[in-house]
Amino acid sequence: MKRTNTHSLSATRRQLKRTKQLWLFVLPAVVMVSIFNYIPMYGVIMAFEDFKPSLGFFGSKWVGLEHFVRFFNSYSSSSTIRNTILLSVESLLWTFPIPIIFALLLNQISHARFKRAVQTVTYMPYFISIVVLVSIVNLFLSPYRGFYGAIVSLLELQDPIEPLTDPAFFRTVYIGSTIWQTTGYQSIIYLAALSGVDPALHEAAKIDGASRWQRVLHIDLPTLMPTISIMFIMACGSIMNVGFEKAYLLQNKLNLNVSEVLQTYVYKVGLINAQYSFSAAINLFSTVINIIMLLVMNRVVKKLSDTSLL
Amino acid sequence: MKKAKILAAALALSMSCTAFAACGGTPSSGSAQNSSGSDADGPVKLTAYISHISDTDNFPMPVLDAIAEQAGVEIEWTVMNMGDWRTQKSVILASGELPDIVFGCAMTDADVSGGSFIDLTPYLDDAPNIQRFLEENPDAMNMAADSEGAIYALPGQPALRPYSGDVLYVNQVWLDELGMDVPTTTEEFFDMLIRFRDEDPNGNGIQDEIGFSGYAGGGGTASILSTAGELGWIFPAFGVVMNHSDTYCMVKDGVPEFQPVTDNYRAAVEYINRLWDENLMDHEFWTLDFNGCAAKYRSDPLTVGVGSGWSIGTNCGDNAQYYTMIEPLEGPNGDKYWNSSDYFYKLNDDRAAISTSCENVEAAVRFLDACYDEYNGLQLAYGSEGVVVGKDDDGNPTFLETPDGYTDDEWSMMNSMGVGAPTWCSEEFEASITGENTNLEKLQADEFYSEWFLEESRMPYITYDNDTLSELSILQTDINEYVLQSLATFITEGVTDESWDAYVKQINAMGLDRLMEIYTEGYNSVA
Repeated sequence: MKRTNTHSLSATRRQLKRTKQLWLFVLPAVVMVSIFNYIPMYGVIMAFEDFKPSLGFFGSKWVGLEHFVRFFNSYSSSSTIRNTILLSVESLLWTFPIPIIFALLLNQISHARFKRAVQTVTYMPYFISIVVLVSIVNLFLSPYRGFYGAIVSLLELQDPIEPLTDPAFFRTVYIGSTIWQTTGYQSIIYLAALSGVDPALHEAAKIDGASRWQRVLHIDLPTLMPTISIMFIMACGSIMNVGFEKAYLLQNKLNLNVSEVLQTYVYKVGLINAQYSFSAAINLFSTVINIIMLLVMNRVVKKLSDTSLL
Repeated sequence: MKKAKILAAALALSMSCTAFAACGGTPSSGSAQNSSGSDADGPVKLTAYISHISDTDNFPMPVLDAIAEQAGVEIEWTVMNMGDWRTQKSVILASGELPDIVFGCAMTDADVSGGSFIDLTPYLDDAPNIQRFLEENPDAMNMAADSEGAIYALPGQPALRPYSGDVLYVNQVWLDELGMDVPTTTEEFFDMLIRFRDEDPNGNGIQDEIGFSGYAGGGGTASILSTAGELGWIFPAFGVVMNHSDTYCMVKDGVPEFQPVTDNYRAAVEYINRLWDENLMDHEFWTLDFNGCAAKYRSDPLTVGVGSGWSIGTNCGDNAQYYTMIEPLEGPNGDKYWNSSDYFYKLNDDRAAISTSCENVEAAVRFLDACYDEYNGLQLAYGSEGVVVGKDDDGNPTFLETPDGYTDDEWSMMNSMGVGAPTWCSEEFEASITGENTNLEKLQADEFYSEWFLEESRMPYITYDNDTLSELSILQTDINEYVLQSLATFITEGVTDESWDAYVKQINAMGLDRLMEIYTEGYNSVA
């Protein structure tokens, strides 16, 4: 891999020439990302100053780590961080493997129209807005009305479980509804990868007497592995990001001790009360955790499977 | 690679330059017109944000044009949807690019003290209406001025606003059915709810009667203790009169006292817990939002015995005729009070401000002053002349008849800025208003409850400096959220000595002493 400097430079230039058109293809994306993702990044300095809109980024008073100290000294910091991580890790454990399993199963269906119908039906919920979804969940799981309410009154349960207000069920409801909403959509990418499997492999395996299960295990799954790795690394990179709207909308006074996550806390303390710098500091903190997770997971996955993001 | 980088950078740079140029361009070209446009060349042109319930329907309102004409200005309005504004204002204000006037949009002290707005105190001499408003209302002055006496935004005090936010009402049909009198004490109230529950007063043979309902759901910020209190009506019977204040304090002998750690508060919570355990209180209370709750009050047959809210009509719709407003309940120690506030419903802070980019401040002040004219103000808050309000034969302001298909409130909201308008009206003017309107009825209910107001217990409106505000924002959010969360647990699971002690200890550990220090200092600076 070691080359002299001049050699590598001229090689790069040669390669650049050869792939000119490809670079042109990438250009719009590069421009977009730099304008909308990189240039605005100077804004993170507001986490270290006492930001006043009128004074701007360069005129506001520099306070260093004060906002971070304030956050970590505040009573709620440990419980919100814990809630965020628990919710997020638990979400990942459930919502990550299910689309893969679903894609593998769906791939086994040979009836094309049925397969398409199932696919459409399962990814439909993805397009429901979170607000509407939460309303559906509320109606569905109320012990007094709706679907669950009907079961409760049919069985004449005394003291039924109240999934919406019982803190023990907050994560279950949150994750369960996410699975319902996103499984179909998430599985599309795996289905696409599966369609790339050479049919000859399956034919050969069949002739050799491989069962369906063996073919899934030894042909489909290995094909999916690189995609799975990449998706997993990316999911780990957003471990501190919990869907704000959903957590906020599913919150009520009774489940607050598990449903208060960083994002909802930032909203209540920071944005409603116009504490911009404080909000920026908390968000920067979770971004740093995200980056660390991303790098660590990238390293781990690379070691294990030789695929990686970077 | 390098080439691509340079190209990308150059492109990015050129694009961002055009973007900045575009942003910078509009206001400056606008202000160039401003400075050149003196009164002699016709009206001064100004730009403004205005908050309105919908984006464009019924806009512009005739009254805005009339006021602009009186002030000799012409305003280019940008309409901010009232609901969106709440979520967008942080970003809009932080962007630092504001029109000349931000008008009727809800802001907080922290928003306006950021330096985006000018201090209005030097201009007040040329604004007789605003000056009269602030002089005659110590609360308004107190609210308007920051800790150093500067006024960055004007509060609004629209006509016909009450001191108290709630009425308490019971199902008269059920009382008659069971041959009962209206309950006067908390124990009579408890017995009444038991009979409502057990004796099938709606006569459909099913035990579907709900004692009382309410809503603590629908977004995490609604405070069931302090604002339009879904439980707010119970606490005063136990001597806990928090008066809609988000400090959860009541003033006793000139000292603010934090209520949620007192024995009285505990007694109130235990009482509510009894209601919960006996299934007299709607168990959906914690997840219902307003619409879900209102649907229960509007059901046929009637299923709810008691409720509280802004007015019987807003909650019960067509079923309002079956409910009767009742007096506050008397608690075990003879306490009989009702929450009220000098400012919570009457005054809205930070409703009009002039930004630092405004080049013709005199004209903008002239416009704002015209809004604080009483008759203009009535129109801004409830609807333009000829549409919602008018003058009767004696020349007194009056409400016109609301067209069929709308409630009074809906019709007003559509045709006005609502009660968030930057306006003012005196008591004499208010007394002269005639006609029939729900807002006049609300005042009658307010009058009914005024007998039980505990004025000396009201926490006044306090303005804090910026450093205190940022400290307060964390302390208050932490403690208030914990109080509400614990209240919910206490009500549903009961209070034991251990859980109560742990709760009080926890609140102290969260910094109650410091919080009370801030509140007390603030109180002393005002009182």
